[in-house]
Amino acid sequence: MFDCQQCQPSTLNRRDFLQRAGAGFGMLGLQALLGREGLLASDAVSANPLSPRLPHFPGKAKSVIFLFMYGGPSQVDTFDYKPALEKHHGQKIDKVSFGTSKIDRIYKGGSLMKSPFGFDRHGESGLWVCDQYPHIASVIDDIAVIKSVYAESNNHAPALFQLNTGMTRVGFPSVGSWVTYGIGTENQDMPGFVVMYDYRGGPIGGPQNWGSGFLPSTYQATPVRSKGTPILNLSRSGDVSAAQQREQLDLMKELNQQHSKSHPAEADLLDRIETFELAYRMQSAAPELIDISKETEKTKQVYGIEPNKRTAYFGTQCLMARRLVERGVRFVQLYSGGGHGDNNWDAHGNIIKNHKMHCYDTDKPIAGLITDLKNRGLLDETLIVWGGEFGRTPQKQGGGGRDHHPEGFCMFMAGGGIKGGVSYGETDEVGYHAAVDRTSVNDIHATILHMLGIDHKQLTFAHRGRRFRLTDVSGEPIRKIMA
Amino acid sequence: MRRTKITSCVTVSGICLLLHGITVADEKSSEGARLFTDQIQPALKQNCFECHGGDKTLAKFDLNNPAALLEKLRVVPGSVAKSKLFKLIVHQAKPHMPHMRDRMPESTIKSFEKWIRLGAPIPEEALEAAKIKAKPRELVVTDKDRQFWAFQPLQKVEPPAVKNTQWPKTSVDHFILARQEAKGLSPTGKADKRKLARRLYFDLIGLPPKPDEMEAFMKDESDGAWEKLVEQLLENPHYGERWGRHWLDVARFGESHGYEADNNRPNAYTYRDAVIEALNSDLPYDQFIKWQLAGDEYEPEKELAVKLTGFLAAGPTITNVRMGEKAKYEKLDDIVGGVGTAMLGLTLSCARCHDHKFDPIPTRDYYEVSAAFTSSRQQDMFLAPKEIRKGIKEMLAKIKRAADRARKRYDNWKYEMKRPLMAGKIAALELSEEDKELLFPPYKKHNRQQQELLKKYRKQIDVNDNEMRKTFTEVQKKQDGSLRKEMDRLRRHKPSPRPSLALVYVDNNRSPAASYLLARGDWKQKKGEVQPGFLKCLMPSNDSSKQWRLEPPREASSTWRRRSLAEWITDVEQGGGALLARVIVNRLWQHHFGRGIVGTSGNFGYQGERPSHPELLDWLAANLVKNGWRLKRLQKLILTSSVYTQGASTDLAKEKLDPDNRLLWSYRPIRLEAEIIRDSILAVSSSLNRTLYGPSIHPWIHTDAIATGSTRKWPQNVKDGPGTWRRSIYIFTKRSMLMPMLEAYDLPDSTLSCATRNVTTVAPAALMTLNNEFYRSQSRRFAERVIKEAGGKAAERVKKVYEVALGRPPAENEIKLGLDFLARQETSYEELKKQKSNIDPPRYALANYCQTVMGLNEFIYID
Repeated sequence: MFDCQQCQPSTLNRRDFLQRAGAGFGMLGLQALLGREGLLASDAVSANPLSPRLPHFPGKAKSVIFLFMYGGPSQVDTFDYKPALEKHHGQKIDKVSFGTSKIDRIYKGGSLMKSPFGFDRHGESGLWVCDQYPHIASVIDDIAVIKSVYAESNNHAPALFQLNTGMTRVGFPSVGSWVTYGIGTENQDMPGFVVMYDYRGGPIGGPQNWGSGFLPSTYQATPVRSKGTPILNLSRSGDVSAAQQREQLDLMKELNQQHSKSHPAEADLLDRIETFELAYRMQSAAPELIDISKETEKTKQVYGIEPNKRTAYFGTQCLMARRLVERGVRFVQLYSGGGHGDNNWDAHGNIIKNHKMHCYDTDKPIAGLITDLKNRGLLDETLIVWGGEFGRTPQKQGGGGRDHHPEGFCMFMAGGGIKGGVSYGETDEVGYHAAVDRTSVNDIHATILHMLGIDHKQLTFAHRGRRFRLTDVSGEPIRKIMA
Repeated sequence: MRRTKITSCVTVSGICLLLHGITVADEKSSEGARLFTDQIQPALKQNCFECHGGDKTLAKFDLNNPAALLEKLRVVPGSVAKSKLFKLIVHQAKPHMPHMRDRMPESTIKSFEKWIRLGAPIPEEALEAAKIKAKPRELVVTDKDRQFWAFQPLQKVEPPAVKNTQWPKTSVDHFILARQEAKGLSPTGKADKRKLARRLYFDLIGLPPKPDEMEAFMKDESDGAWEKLVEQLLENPHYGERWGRHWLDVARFGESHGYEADNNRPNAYTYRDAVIEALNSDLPYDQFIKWQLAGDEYEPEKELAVKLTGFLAAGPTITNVRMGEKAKYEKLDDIVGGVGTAMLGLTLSCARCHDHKFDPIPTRDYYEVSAAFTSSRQQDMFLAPKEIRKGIKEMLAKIKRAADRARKRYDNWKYEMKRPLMAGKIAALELSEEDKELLFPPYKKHNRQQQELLKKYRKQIDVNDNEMRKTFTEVQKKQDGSLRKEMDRLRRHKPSPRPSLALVYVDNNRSPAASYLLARGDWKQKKGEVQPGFLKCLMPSNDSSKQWRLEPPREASSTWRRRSLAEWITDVEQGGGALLARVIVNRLWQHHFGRGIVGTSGNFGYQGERPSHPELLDWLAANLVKNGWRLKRLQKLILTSSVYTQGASTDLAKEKLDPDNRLLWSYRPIRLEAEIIRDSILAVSSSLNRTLYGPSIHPWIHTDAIATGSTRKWPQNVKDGPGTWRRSIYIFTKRSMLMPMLEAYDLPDSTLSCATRNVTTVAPAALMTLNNEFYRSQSRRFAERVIKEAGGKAAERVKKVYEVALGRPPAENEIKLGLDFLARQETSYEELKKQKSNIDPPRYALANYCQTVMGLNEFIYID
């Protein structure tokens, strides 16, 4: 049974949901433990908010790896080849005729700038890829590039929130939270939703980008560190045994449950009980998971994990992502780029310097991830999503950069039931507006849910008297890119 | 008669689309054109111009230019059904227009319909007229903008009457109760005394009450016991640490520069100390603000005032010199943004590249405010009287000169040593004798020909120090050593004792630097100079700025521009003072109740929340101002109100009426902040070193957590002890290396002003509670304390643990659970002892018990 259907009456709030889902206070943790093994999608375990549940229809993908290119990669310098930019290089955009008169938002500043990178057709499909992505180009036949995405905001924070939560404002659940809320997760010993942000820092807005909003905080992402040890404090202190720690947890749980009785309205208190149980289980499951030393040198090389190579950072994250989904973690999000300025894809000053670096850092790791998943037969059930919060202007900014640009940009998907070697949608002649098969962020989200077997219109949560959806009131799955 | 030329020549994205003939003589068009002039244009003026014409151009179109009808509102000549404009005005499509108002009269709508059917012609005169006006406009702040609630003067309000006259203790309660009664809600009964004491201790000093303090309060049954405790804790020196930390959050305080290199600022702690000191001494809030903006311009000889300018320096700084002027503007933005958010609850940074999209803040206002800071510089300054500072400066310059001379001496000597070696190398080159002659040293001043030769051969003829030293005789070696030693001695010489340094932000001298208006926030696009000014939405009229502009007196060593800003921002009658007061009382409320009267305490603008109790907010703000801006006095008033002493309700019916408790009919548990959790652990284990103030500390962090990289982020292998067991506010705030233990409980990253912290509940925090060495070692210390204070009986120990950690005696079943736990754990440790003889089962069991209690929700959620 589909869990979120339980809260049909719209007057129910998050707390009511918890009480229902938990069949009373304090049952969550216990149920989670009891119902852990092999009770896929039965009513009996719906009490565990993270137990796996059957989706609305059989989905191709079991898990998602969302590669978030923070800062906004340029569409016209990656996948959306625009020969017209070469023709009109240096001209003002309003002096150029390009065919999308329908759309009314246009920023006229700056003159058009051709891509400093070369483009070529690749694979059997002959899709265009820039020369900074040689490895991705080699797997392009597994990728569906969506060239007509548009978003609402050209500021980082609201744009990040939109691509992560569907809303430009803060306080809404992220895609990963919706997914784990909807169909739980296969591995009860690890969080269902994991995020690894860049070693240079988190994106603007930090945890709100992977928060659970009004959903129970059980569904927020657990950050796994991207530097040094991925998960700190995993091993028990030498002077306490597993059994003794179990006793500590049992006592803590019992006392916490008593305490919660005098605070029936506070869902966070129950959620915290849950995290202790998860933490306990992670101690045995996670060390093996994060230990990439057992991976062969060959595998590591596929991801670009080599000493003193810049690709090693993102490569390690990609390899970790594979290990996570391999072990049944439902949703993994990785960030390329963090902190300020050229530490992420925000190439205001110099597109060559910025994108060369970030393309190089991620090209081999991403291609490696696709190749490795494919070799292991996992690509079919793992949906890979690539994209940033917006694209960049076809016009030049400053010396040789490009400004933020949400009117038309690229994302790509691969695996998990996506048809490879497909180009979907188009921008106008110069890559300014999404023109053909315009794709909203809601469409992207609807597609992600669809690949997992979730009908985005039916995945709802009642909150403040309204039933909320990830896709708000619109969105259609992009069927043309499905295999 | 002149024939009217009618066009529908529409510029869409720069393309001239001729929708229909340029010159149309037919009846239809001229009728339409007349209709436009007679009906449509007046209707637009009347119904639309307020937002889309003249001073405001929301959605970025201006109906002064009628072409916008076709471009932006997609009027399709001849087709009413396809015209977006029509759908909007008949309320078929959203947003319904006119916005938030009724439809225009049917007759007007009919006119629009007819005009479109007639081909939507626009007379050329109308288009021409628009071109003349069509210069890009700056946002103009209007009186209507000033009517937004947050920009209004403080309203004079009286506490409302209530039905239940028993409950209210203070005027605050009247405001609270009146709203509840109107909604059919009632307050929850008073919380029990122990809970209240614990709540108050954490709220005011951020530490749990000690058992004897708790007992003393429990014994005091006098009427004034609560008030006495409030007063006592407000005077406790830990108050400044607790409330100072709240301010440091909004002040984006960090002790490193941020960005890539993230170098340390060893003297930044002086600002943190100044904040604690200011709050402890109850410095009037307006003065606190003035000194943070311009302490040096008000009281140049008062250490506290000068140290407080560290507010301006507190945010991140680009240290990469190649960034040049860009770095300067980034810093200015950090400051203007910081001032806006922390002090006024306004998102000023949004107006850096364009007029603010939601609030009436033109880009010009942004740059006028920033002009206060363009003459200032972030610097480490000696804390000493001016004369002494001057003396020190002179002395340091002298030392530097001496060091430079020594360096020069050494360089010259080395050059003489290298000369013959270079000569040898030149001789070996395959060059004409003439060129060799030209290359021969000394070539200190060389002509063009020499330059070119040098460029080519420099690498081959240069002699490095190592090569040189290989040829040294014993005598030369000695000479080398002594010259070098002399140079290093002078370079490293630091006169002592000398006054300590503070990181401050002050002006260079009294002549201001030029400030510019930038287009799109780009420092390369300067659009003329701006004079210092203030936010026009927070002054009586658009030209009021001059009334706060001050000229520095002749003896001043700064521009007084920041002081001018400070005068405006604290001016309650005319300037920013009313909002300043609202924002701070809201912050006080937020930290006492877990949520502000305005939920978005860092944004009082259009996009922010509206206050849940607007009258109360204004009443509190006015009360603060009237009583000399004393925060502690106002806090006492709030804390002695009935609303604060309520218990936590279990009534789910009330929950339905007001699920978010915005009307404050119950107390909601608040999770302690990261620092307070750590401080509490140290307090209950009796490890806490209560020393106030001083340079920051670097507690132990697991090597795994210290990032490996080129920069040394954090000292490794620190041994924790009393030196690091200090309150967490004293932990060095390294922007790129937050303490994982604090990070797990949502410590802000101090990049931007943080008004409300996140509260996340994730597994890594649980893992930390279970396995982190800090938790483990403090549990052992806690156990030692319990053994010492409670003696050998297990039941007494359990009671002691509860008393110390949770401030209450355990219930019967809690004792039983504790005893069972201890017994089981002792047994298992007895087993283990057979292999490891150093195990002390009762102690080990008790430590595990202590750790468990410190992991409880009750330990970190305060109700």
